[in-house]
Amino acid sequence: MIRIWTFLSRTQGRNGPNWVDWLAYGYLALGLLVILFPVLWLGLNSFKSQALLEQNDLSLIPKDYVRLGRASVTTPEGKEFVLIEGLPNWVLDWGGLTDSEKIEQDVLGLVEQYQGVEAIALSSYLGLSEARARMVIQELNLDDCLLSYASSTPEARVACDADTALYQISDLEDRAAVGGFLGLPEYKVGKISGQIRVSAPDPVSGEERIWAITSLTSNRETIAARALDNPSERPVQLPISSIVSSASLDLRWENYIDPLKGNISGVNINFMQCFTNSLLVTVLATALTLLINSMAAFALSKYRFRGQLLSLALVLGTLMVPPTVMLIGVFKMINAAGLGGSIWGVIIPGAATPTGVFLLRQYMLTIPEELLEAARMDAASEWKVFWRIIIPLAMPAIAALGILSVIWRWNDLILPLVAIPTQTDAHTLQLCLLNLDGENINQPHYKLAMTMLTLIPTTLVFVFLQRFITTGIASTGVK
Amino acid sequence: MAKLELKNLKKSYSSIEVIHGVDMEIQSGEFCVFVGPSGCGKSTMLRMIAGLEGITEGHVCIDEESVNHLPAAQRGLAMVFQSYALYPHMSVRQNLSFGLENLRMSKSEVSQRVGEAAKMLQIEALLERKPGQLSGGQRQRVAIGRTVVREPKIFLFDEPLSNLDAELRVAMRAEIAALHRRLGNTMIYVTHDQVEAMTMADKIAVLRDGKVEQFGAPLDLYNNPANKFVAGFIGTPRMNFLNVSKGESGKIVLPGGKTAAVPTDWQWEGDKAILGVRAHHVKLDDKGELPFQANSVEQLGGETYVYGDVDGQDMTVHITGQANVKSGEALQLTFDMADTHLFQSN
Repeated sequence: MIRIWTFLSRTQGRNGPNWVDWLAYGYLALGLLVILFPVLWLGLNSFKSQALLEQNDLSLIPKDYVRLGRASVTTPEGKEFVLIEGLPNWVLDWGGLTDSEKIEQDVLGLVEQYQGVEAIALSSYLGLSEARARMVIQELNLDDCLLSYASSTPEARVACDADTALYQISDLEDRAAVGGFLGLPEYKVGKISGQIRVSAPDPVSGEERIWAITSLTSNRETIAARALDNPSERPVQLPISSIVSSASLDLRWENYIDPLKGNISGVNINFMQCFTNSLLVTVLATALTLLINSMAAFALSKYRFRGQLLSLALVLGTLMVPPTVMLIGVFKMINAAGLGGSIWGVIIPGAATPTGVFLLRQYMLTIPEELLEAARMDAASEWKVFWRIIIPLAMPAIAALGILSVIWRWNDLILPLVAIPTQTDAHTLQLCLLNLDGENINQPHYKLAMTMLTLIPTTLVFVFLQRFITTGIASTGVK
Repeated sequence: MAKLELKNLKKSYSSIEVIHGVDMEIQSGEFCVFVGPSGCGKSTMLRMIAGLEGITEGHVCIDEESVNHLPAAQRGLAMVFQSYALYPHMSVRQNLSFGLENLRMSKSEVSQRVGEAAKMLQIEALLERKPGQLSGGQRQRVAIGRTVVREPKIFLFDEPLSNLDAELRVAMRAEIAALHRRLGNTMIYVTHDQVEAMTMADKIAVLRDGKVEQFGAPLDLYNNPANKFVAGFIGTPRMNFLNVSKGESGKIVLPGGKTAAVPTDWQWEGDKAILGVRAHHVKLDDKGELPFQANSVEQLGGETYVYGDVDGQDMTVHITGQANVKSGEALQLTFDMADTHLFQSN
């Protein structure tokens, strides 16, 4: 730790930093910020809640505003708005929960805590109304025609006389449940939507009040707000500058956990499976790439044979053809080989890369011929020469190619898209990310979290392999 | 231990022939040195014996059997390279054992042989180091150790001392000679330094332009050089050469005009010839046959070298002990005709 500090606090000036130091350290800090900030932003934003991201919240820190639930409830007396305080997060996120998650919640217990219009709004939103309506109809011995009222013809509805039936229900909540069940317009209950609880002075009276607003991000100077103490009064335009909101740090680990467990509502993607597939593809393809490329490079750099230059020219020539041009050919080849739909269709076509052959060949040219001759005099077979002499000495280049190959394979979208477009259980991480962007799904929190996940392996590989690049071991033994 | 025979050995690169039919027989246990100026083909010949270069024509025979078809790995030879060619990523111990592992030798035998070789070459303390951490002399020992552990039929050395400084070179020269005495193996040693050749060899092959000029024991070559090239190449200081001409009744006319009798086996081809005489065979003598102009004098204490010219031709004179000669002095030289060599001038 002290050594790091002495390293970082070195100066050119003998008595404290001079202008060169200021300039150099300033430039370093700026560079660090420019590179690090976007990653930091992505990392922190991947922990934000869905609600926050849907509000286009661009701030760095994932936070949680004090939230309210807002709903409109219509009774024969008229339409009124209701703001419900103290709701747990799962109620506000109800729309994004999967069925199994919904079952886990104590819905009944929650609704019991509320009364009147609030209870009506909650039980309607959480799907309790229908059961309650059927129960009430049965208990009060009302006409059975009410059970099929919502789907009956207008003549049947008139015959059924819902108004009289409703008149018999004394309890307000029961009546609202039955009214909603019958589909009567005067008993319509709106969905609960999340609102942010803020405090601001009333623009008219100047008195400090609590308000509910939809989002804090607005490109106008004012924002529509409903007062908590009288939600049904007309929305008031509050100047944004006067709003005081309270927020706390809120890391949503479920952004990572849910996709990895395969718990994304609306789409069947298990990111653990995607991750395993990607890992398998990357590791196998890289191993194969390094093996094949180093063997080709060895032959092209250390053997003299007829057509050597032509082979090299052919290998390098493929560099000139853009890979997109060959896409259809690759697709037909993969299918002809019977590799379509399996991860081998991604691994094998990418195994030999001209860049890799060229890179390794150029490096192997610098390994002295005498070392190979010495090994041959030492009774080594050509295979041994390759494994024991060439491979260890070409390690810096192989590590460099390894890093490149891992990054290529891991980030590749095109080849998996061509080779395994429909086989969902063979999808790689990049394909899974693509599937998250469906027509009817909008889950930016999962997208950000999984994007962050895709960054981790390539970073780790670079950290562990980069020291091989910096150690040039080949130059030490032979003068 | 093995006998090596080269039979009409030829090597061409496309259409250019670089080795022109070499015949040679190296007996079992002999230390043979290939010597010659750079570009004479001595290294190429060594690599052909090793199996690292293809053979265009002729045969390399080890123990009466042609090994032309065998790759280097199967010829059972071991080689010390000019650059040592130690495997930089392996420790000294691994460098030594690599060849033995390739022969599928048991672990205990490998470690025993490595231990013995390391002890003999005094590199035991270096076994765990990498070649990059060794000095030039130590690398040289490791390179030799790598061949010693193999116990090969024939040792091949390709200018192994050329990367060392002068002092170390003399010491290593003695060590390689001692190694040969101890192991008694057949060794072939390539060098361009005739001093190395003279001090170490049982047999020397002097090469020029892909041909063997002379093959024989060092003193044979020194005393009876087959031609002017060998005479000039072997021995320090270089043999003095004087242009002479045919005089009356076949006598030799020396520079300066005096005459000398010809050796009995001499036949004139034309009327010009070259007389070779070594520096220590000429003496200062007031009544001598050759007029000598001393240009510079090297007084070494135990011996003296006088450099000058005889009638415009360079001449070095070696005098045992200290001599009272000053540069610029005009002197007379004498020599015994029996010590001289007469070559046809062509």
